[in-house]
Amino acid sequence: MSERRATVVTLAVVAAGLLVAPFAFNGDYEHGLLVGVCINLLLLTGLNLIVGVAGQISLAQAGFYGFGAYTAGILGAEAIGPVWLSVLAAPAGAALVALLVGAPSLRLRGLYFTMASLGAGVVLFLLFGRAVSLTGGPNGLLGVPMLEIGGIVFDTPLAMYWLAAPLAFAGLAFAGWLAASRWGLAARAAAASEPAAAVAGVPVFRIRLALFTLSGAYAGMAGALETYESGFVSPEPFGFFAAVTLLVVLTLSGAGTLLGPVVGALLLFGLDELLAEADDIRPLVVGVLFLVAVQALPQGVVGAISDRRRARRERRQARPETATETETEAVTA
Amino acid sequence: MTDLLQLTFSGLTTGAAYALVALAFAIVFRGTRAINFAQGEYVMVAGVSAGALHAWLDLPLAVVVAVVIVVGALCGVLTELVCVRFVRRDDPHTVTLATIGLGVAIKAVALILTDRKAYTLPGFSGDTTLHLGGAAVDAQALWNCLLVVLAAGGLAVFLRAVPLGVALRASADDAEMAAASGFSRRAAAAWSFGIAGALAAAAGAGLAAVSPVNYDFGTLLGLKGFAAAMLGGLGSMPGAVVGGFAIGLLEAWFSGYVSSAYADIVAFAVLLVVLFSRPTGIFAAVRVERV
Repeated sequence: MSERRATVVTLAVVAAGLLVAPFAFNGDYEHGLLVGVCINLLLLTGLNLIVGVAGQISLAQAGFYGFGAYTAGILGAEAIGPVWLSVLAAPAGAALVALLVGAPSLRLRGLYFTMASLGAGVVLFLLFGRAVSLTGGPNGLLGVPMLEIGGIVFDTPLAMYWLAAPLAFAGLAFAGWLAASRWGLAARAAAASEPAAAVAGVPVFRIRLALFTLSGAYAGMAGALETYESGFVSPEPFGFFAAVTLLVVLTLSGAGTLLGPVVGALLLFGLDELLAEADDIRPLVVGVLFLVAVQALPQGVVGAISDRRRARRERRQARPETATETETEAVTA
Repeated sequence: MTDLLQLTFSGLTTGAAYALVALAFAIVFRGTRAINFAQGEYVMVAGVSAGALHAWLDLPLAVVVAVVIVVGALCGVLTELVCVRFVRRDDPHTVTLATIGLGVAIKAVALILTDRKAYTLPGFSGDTTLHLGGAAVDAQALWNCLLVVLAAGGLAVFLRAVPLGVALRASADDAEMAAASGFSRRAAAAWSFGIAGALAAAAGAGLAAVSPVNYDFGTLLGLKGFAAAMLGGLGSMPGAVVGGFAIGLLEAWFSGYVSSAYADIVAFAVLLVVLFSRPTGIFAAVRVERV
């Protein structure tokens, strides 16, 4: 299967899944969970751009997610501008923050970039909890209104789903296109060997900055959806643990692949469902899963499967040559 | 003036803990080139188990401190087992990521075992307050500073005069060469993590004597200790001590004169400023990779 055909087939399967899901899982509670899957899909697709495509490990995604959630929440609660505008302001604001963070941090490489992204993420998280007059502090932000766009009120989880699902799908499709485009290729080349890419004329820094900014926009959009889905924002879901969880799930499912974020969003969903009754065990499961992922599946589930398929294909193609080799051996013997 | 003195002492108390944690980061970084994110959790494990030991068994304080330092060292050795041996790839990147996973797991186990309870230790010399220039300060500040002096001094002697310490320095300098002369990278990693655990445990005991500690207090503390290590220059021992006290003092002064709500941000603001302007820190120990 050619790469382009694989992309199209993957996207078609995801689209079909998103279309069928709300009918297969009917009910307000189930629809709410599905909105959650779409939000996680956006978060992971965005994270995949900087981690999977550009090869720069970021721990700032949870902070950008929170920035989007609070931007939408504060604009909505204070009734600054129309409500629909706050949904656009969230990704724009988070992208701007990502740009400001990325401009100095992406000058650093490897672990040093990760550390800078971690610092920025922690600063954002602390601000959510401490800027009480703006965010409501640890008690959370109250008074988020119902989302209304052009006369349509998104007052049920199903309505929110029909907003979130197309956005998540568009996000995935765009990321898929971008990863296969010349910019995506250039970013991959730079991840594989930075000097080689730079010598070949790839503007490494600018491409990474663009991908990081974009990952912020995805997180911001996810934040706005989360805010209007739950009608409430508190700092807790945007901390260090959330940043680590996102990275774990992406690593485990397959960073750098189109299907990775999809598998990851389902994995998070499964994790949430499985551990719904046992909140205290969740961090333990995430921690152990992470260690196992790093040990056994350095390329994630999707990467491991495609590796195995490639290996099988290569074995099949290699067979005739093996035969000639044995023949030559027989002759020389 | 009394304000300043009081804030300075509280800055020294926490700064000493940051200095110990930063020293631990430095040791591990030199031994493995990795950053040990489970570090803060050792501090937590030590602090909580010190409090628990004191509450259950009523052991003398010196024994409690000695026991938790051993516990910390064991945590360090566990980290080496899990993050280097189990993961089977000893590139620093993978080890660093693995320590994040281990840190999350350690914290989760502590959460389950302690059921969110908080523990305290009495001050090392009772609840003595010292009166200095009109300010009443907790004597624990001096104990914590003494811990740093002992740890830093002990390390300096160990790394120069003890054969094992010299081998560790050799390995930090050129791991291949040291391995060729019989001190493997595995051994360097195991010893580095073990020493780091003991250092972090001393910090944990010192902090439990100041305020109650629970399963949750290690993560932020570890990250602040990392900021301190970066400020001093990752891998530099004097840098770690200077960075730790500098962050502790800045934080205390900021919380006294500017805002206590935002004081936690100081360490991370410093981290970002250091990374963006002088990634090698004050005492440059390593070459930083830049584009």
